[in-house]
Amino acid sequence: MASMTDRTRAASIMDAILHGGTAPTYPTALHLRLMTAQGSNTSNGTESTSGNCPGYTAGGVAITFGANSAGVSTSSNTPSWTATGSWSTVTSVEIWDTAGTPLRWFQGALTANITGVANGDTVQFASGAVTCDASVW
Amino acid sequence: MHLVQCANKECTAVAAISSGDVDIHDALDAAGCKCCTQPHNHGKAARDTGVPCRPVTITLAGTEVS
Repeated sequence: MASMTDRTRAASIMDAILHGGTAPTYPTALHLRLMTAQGSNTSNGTESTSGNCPGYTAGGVAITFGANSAGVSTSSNTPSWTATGSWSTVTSVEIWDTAGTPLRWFQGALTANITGVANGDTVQFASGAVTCDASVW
Repeated sequence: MHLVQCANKECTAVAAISSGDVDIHDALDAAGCKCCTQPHNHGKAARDTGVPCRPVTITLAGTEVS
């Protein structure tokens, strides 16, 4: 996966560096959202819902990252959901902030789709499972 | 990559899904898990009958966002 999700925010960061402009308001907390259809770097994907993925709540759950090392930041917690029914296929994830009007900051496809989740199953991301690589911004 | 394990903590079967679109219960079945008490074990057939199957845990790793 490459490039920061929303080019307008990436551009404003770049502009602040190049011209001393105003940087965007940086997030204070982030949520990991599951997607049934991947978006692009300029458009949102289709988020899972409590209807097609029972046990999932729109808006996602908290995700945290460790300090960047050699250009790569890795997730440091274990976002998790327990299914209360059969899920539609999950293909990708997005990372949003938690502002009053949340903004999307990153997105990416899963290495493999999540298929066949049934009632009672647990879906979780291991610590370190999600990475952000500065080299692909 | 996804690692799929049975909810039975003593079960040693692990299914690794590295790409594509593989049903997690079928993958656990193929990995040799025999913990489900239903005769059809894990897998799609179990769910199609509506008979509860022992839950599984799917752990995801290696997702890069940018």
